[in-house]
Amino acid sequence: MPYDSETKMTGPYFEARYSDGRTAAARDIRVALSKHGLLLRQDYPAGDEVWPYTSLTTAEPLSSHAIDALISNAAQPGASLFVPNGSFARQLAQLAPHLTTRAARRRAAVPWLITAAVIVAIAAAISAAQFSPARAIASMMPDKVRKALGNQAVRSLTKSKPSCMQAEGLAAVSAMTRRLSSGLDGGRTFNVTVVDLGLVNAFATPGNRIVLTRGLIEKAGSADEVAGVLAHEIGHAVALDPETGIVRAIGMSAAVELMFGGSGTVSNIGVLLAQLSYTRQAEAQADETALRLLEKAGISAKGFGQFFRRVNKEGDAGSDSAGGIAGMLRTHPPTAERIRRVDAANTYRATPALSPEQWQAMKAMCPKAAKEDG
Amino acid sequence: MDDYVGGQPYGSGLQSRDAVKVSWLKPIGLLWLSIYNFIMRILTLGIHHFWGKTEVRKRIWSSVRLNGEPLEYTGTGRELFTGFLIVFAAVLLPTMLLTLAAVMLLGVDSVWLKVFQGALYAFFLFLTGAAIYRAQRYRLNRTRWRGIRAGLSGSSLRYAWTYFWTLLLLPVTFGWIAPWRSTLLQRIITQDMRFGDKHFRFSGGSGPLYKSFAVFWLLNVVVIGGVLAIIGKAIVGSMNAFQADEGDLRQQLPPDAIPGLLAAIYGGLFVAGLIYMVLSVWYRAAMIRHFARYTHIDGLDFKSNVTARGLLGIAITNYLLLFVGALLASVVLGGIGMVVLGGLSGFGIDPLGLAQNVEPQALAGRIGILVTFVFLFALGMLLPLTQARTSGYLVRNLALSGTIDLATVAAGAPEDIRRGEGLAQAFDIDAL
Repeated sequence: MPYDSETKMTGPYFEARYSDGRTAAARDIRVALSKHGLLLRQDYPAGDEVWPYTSLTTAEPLSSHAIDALISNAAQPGASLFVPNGSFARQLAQLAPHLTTRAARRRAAVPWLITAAVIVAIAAAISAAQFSPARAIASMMPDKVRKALGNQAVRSLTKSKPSCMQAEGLAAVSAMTRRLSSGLDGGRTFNVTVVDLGLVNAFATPGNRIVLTRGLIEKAGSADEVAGVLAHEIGHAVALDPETGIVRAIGMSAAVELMFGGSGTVSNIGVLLAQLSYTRQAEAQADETALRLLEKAGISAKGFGQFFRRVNKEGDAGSDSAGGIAGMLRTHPPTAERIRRVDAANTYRATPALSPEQWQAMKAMCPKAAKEDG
Repeated sequence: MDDYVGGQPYGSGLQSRDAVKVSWLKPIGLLWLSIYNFIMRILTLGIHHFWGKTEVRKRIWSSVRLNGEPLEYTGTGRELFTGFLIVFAAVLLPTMLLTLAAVMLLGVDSVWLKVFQGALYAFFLFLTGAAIYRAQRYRLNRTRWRGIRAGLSGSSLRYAWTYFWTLLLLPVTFGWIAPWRSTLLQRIITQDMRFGDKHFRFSGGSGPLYKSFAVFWLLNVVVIGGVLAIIGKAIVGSMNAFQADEGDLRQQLPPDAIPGLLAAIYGGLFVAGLIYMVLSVWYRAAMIRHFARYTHIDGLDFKSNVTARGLLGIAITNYLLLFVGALLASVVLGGIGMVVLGGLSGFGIDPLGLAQNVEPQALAGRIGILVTFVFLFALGMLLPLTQARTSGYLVRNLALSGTIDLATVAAGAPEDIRRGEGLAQAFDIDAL
């Protein structure tokens, strides 16, 4: 841009160093802050030049404690001007406010602050509407995938611990399962595995599979108590809670990767399921299903409440021996409210969940239990 | 304006050869920038990370002065972000889905799953090399001085392949390939590096580095051996003293013996870790000096005067800074969290389950996990400050001797690298 004779100076000249961007050579020139732009006073033959304020750019924005300024001109790529003078930087910041740190930060931050606010609002709306994207995906999962996930989960847990295969015990378990699931519509069947583990736990996996531990059967005082827990887990399975939990966990780990980078993968589905904790609504709903199934099967709901009190008492006593109350309790402790609801269940004609012989067979179905008995 | 000494007399750059003086102008306001970025990262759900990082780089780059004139970092947050998104969609997400599918199809115990995971691991090691090279290329490409861009003109696949196969040889050679390997990799990078149209040169081999490496290696063997011996002796001693006829160790040891044994093991490991840190810093200093000594561009020769003591001082004070920063941030965030929880409970929302009658231990457990998570997250808060300190130390100890005719350094052919260093971001390889 040629020299503009109308240019009015607003300040003195500053020493500067000019590079044209074609080579790394630089030459010293003087610059001034004029009304229309930065005036570059060059010796013959180049002549004076004006860089309009609006076309100025800086790689590093001008901060209030700047002691120099390195300026480029969008209209003249490559060329740069270095002015080692803090007062110049501060005056320039006033004339070209888009070069300041504050402006740069606003440009960088505002769109993402709005984005984040929108994301949070959508998430809040979704949760307020009680819509669960994870549950929606889970309900679309094909049966084949459900089965494969469930098999993986059970296999990864029983890999080190043998499942309890004693024939009479298995028969008792399947009798109890059939009796409970007969109350469901559509004739759904459940595959229940008892694992030879000492800790008290029970959980449902995708694909209508349920895992009980030897510890849980040992802890229970009667077959009715086991039936209560089993009915509760059938309730989870019917509501697709395990599938939802897995989808949610995968989604979470993807989100964590998105935030922090990394290449972690969900590898042990079994451990994941054993540690999943469901929401209070999911627990309440599973309890409700359990009560309905118990009533239809003619099994007293008292056992269910009994089991709650039993594990709760243990928790109060602060017993912490080798994960005695781990698993089930840690993930979904029976609250007073849950116990009250179970206790308030209808009374109806009930028969024991298993015959005494069947109950004995169930208690003795694991190798370790059998060894201790003998 | 003492910081600007070393500039050439007016106009002289056009005819004569120039000396180049490197200096470090301590950046101002990095503490505040660290805190600002940390807060913004939370408020934008993490996305601001890339913009924050870019602003930090601009500060650090402009603190490096050649003849009093700053380096310029021209990268943008948007480039880093899109680079990351592309790698996430093209590499990380497919890997995750593929692994999940493999676990489901092959089964947890399957040998083929192990083969698959091994292959995946190898592929990622290969990608790591590519990521290092590409990140370097991006950063150099976004670095300018006097309007002239630096660059890295070579093949990232070639580097990745060298990185990969020499890595496989590391365990086979008990680590003795390391000096040769790092010199080879440094040579590839250095010779591909250019400023404008001038290429850097790398003039040496790995030979001189082997003396330092031998000392490093032997001392390490002695330390590791010694610590293993001490720990082993402690374990055997406790077992002899307390072991009954059969059963596992934990049940047989009286409870009061366990803390002593654990103290021996963790204490030993801690001391070994400290010694290893000192030794590796000592070797690293030797390596930096070694690499600098063989780096040239035109008539300029590099020389680094970094010492183990200097590097160690920076590292230790940096760790302390990060720790104290995280501690303070956790306290503040914890306080805010309490207020938020209190406010939410007013609306009947109770994410921690405080109103349910949860056992105190379970509640303490949940809060503990939360606090740990916040602390680990906050550990990164002061990273900009510590990165600047490390860079400052390296730059202050760098000298360029000889001369260069800056008027003959022409701008290189324009290159078009639009995306940032996504791959390196995803793998967490990041020098700056």
